[in-house]
Amino acid sequence: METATERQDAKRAKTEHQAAEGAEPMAVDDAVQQKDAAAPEQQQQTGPSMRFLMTQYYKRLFPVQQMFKWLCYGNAATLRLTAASAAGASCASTLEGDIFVRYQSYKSWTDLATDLARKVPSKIDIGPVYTHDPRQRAKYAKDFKPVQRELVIDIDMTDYDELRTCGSGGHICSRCWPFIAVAIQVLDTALREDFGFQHILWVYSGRRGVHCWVADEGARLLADDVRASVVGYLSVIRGVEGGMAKLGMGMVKHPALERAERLLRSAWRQHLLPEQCLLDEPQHYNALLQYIPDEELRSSLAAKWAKGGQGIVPGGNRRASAAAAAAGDSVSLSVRRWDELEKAVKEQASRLPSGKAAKALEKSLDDIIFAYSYPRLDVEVTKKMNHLLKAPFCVHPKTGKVCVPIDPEAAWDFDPDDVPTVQQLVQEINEQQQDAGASPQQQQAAGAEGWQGTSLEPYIAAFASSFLSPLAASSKAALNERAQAAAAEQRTQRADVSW
Amino acid sequence: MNFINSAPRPVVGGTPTTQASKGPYLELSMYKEVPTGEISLEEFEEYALDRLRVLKAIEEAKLRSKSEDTIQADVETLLKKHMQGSSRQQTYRKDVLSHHILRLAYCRTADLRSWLLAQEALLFKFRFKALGRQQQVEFFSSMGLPYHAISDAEFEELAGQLAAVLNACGEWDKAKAVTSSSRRGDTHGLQDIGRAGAAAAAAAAAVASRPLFYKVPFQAVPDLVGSRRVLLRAGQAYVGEDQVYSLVVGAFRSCLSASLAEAARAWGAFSAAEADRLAPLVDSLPSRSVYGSDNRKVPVGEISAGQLAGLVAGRHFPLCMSVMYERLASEHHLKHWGLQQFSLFLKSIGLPLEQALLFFRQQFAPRTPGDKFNKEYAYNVRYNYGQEGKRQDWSEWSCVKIINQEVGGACAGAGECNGGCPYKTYSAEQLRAALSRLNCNDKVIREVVDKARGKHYQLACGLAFEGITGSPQETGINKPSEYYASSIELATQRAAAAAGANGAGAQQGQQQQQQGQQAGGGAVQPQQQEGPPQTPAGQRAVAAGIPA
Repeated sequence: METATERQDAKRAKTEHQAAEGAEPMAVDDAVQQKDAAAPEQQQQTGPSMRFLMTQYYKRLFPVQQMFKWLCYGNAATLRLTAASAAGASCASTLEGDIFVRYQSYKSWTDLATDLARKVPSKIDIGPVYTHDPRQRAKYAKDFKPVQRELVIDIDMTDYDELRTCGSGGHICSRCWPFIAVAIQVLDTALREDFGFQHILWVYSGRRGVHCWVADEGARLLADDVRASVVGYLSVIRGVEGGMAKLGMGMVKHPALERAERLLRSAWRQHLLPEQCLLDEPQHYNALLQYIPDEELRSSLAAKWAKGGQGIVPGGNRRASAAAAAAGDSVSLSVRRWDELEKAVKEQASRLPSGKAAKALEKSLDDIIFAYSYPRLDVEVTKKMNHLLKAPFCVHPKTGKVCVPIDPEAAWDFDPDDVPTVQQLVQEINEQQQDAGASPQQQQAAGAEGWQGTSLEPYIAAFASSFLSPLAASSKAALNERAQAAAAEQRTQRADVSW
Repeated sequence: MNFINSAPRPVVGGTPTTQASKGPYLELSMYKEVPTGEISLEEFEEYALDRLRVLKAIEEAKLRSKSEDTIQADVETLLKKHMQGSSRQQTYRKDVLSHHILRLAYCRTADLRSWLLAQEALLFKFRFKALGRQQQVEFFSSMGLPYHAISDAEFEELAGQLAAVLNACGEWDKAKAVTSSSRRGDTHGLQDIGRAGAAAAAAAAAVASRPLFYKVPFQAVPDLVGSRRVLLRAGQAYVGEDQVYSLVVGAFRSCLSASLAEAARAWGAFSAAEADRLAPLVDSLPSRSVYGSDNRKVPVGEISAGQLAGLVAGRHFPLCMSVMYERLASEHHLKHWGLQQFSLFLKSIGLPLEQALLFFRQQFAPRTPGDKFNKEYAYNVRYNYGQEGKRQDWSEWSCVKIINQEVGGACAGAGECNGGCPYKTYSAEQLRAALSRLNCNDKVIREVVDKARGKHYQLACGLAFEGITGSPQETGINKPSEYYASSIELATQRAAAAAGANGAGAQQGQQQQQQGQQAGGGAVQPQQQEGPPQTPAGQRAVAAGIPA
């Protein structure tokens, strides 16, 4: 029943789409097919244009139903509770040439699909749910306000530029991924254990960062000042001055930071030190040693390390480290140096006459670990309900990578270079089609969605099973609860009347 | 809103009256009931302005990042100074009435509402914190907030973490109290205090003889969450007894926020009904300067046109005026509003009319022939001195007026100047350049630019004063002449100190004074641009204030 209507909708949408193009329906279909067939040849010469790829992506790959299901939170059917939700969820999309269209909203997934196919936005942003349909915001003027929005977190690799040893700016690679992976671990734990949130989606932004969407109802309803307080709770690094991070934590740590420290410490020796080679080269270890308040200690360590020694050729450290690791020397240079540093600091601390100074010196080790590995948030994104954030599953316009979900449990195994690109996906789907010999229309008629069988499938499947389904279940439970409460109230009212 | 006309009735707030508070001014109200009774128009205005004085002082203290304890002490002094009535009842009446008047005055725009909300919540917080422990608990429980104190079992389970949070906040004693009561292990059975009533909460504290913690949704205590001063578990914050202020203030905030929205809706009716009487008064309150005439006085006596260059060079002018002076000197012209702003300032610091005309005529001369100046500009200058038109003795523009002046690019752009406040109109770059011309160091410049970017223009100006003079500006700057007066006063004091320490300096000072006396008697010496400016009689402050 439902599929039947959906199919009808799809059909209608297609007709509308074609009408909008102002062409004979059949002619358009033909044209599309010809283009499809011509695509591989084009690719060999100049490569298909981004616009062509994006058109294909939205038509055949983008999980529009799943996205729509998420963004309306099951309210499409029960509009009486929060009438604004489905109609009011706002999207903004950037069209080619950086034209920005804000305040779009859609009543059904087919509407969304049609619009995407027509506009082919290079990027889609998601904003808040407003009190009224955002397309009619002028009508409501002052009463037009955001009322709901996922709690979002944005981590951008550029905030780690002064720490990274592998690149900067738009660069991201598997060697700097540990910064992100440990950030996901720390934040995900805090959001679940401390704030009690359950419906958390982590997404790779397609280029140099990750986004987190917290979709619990409680999170969606948070006022701006509470969002700011969540940011305050989760942030430790209060800015960077003179190449050193300013840390907002005292000698004794809040339990949340102690827990974070345990996560950071294990990531520090296992991943960050060896993979980033933080102590291999002078400019890197000197920056790190700045955090040690003891001048003498700093210079003696730096002098010792400058001699190189330990069989590592200066300048060729990275390869040398890798080689050393391959040769069975399991402990990398940076880890060995860290152990030396730790030992030296502890010895020096035990020699200090005052307990306070000793503690301060020992704390500098913690400071280093926090400064280097505690998550650095782009705080403004989280603070305001109104802030737009790039939607999952859109394509990063510069890299062509799809913004795919990340399993926080497996964040360490995620490789940003393995993420499917739109080029790759379109090729996959074309090959698939050639193998099967069926047209996309036939496939869709058979109930299959375009992304099935492509390398996008596992990501969409994970999105559906570990985020959408639990979310739908809890939305439903909440609705039932409210319906029951309303019914109970009605009963009492009736009872009152009968008295 | 109708309390002006309705029959007098004793003013009783919908709150518990706290017994034995430290002073009568500490009686705390949630202001839930609109007071009724009669009040004179004078009182109406006075009450509102007095409360504004307190609120603005708190805002400023906060912006200057004074410590909580300092502000706590400040608030007590402020309340004593501005809000204390002749009796307990009077004080209470003034508190309630002034709150409601301001609620009305600040309800119309989102900016005004959020300002009042922020300041009133701060005031409320400091007043609540000034209450004794017992009174706090009573007030808290009287509010009937649906928060539960945690049971002994839960306390035992969490004691370690609760103590850790307290330790992390530097509350060693309280942490110790938590660990010791838990280690003692004296359980009193499961004591889940239901909707903690006053008696129940107090009883629990007594029976349990351990610190009380309330379990509340984290959304209710954003300030404690944001600074990691509570333990969070599964969305619940564990709020200590002495942190309940956060819950109380939160409730106060949301209550006031709703009332302000309500008042905004009712404003139309009120302003129509009171168009001739209260509406204009209430309407003007947010833009009123709350600093009375008892504020610092501009040094009395006259200055001459010839001294102006020295005063600018001596960095005694606030940025808005020194910028205008420089622009006038280079462009030989000011636009209308710029001329008004500048000439009224010069008037207020003691430049007499004929000197003003002389000064402006000279400055305008390269571009504007004398007769054209007389025709087009002299009128305005004479008008400002009450010699034309309405013949009113116009006073200088306040900072509020200057800041709100629509200058259309102002001194920021090239060419002639239309006045305005540079902290508002300048870009960060321009501001940095202007301040470094005044020899401010980088740190000061950074702070000033930060404040300006935060739209705290007057505070930015105050910081610039500190950066330039090296001495704090305590009283705030509300008129350009106050900046000038403070700067001159400081220079006078320093000159006197230097004179005391150094005989030659004293001699020089005397010489200057003598010079001043010689030049006195209204003698005008406009052309003297070099050397120490000449000082007319009675202008000792200026004479001593200008560094030789």
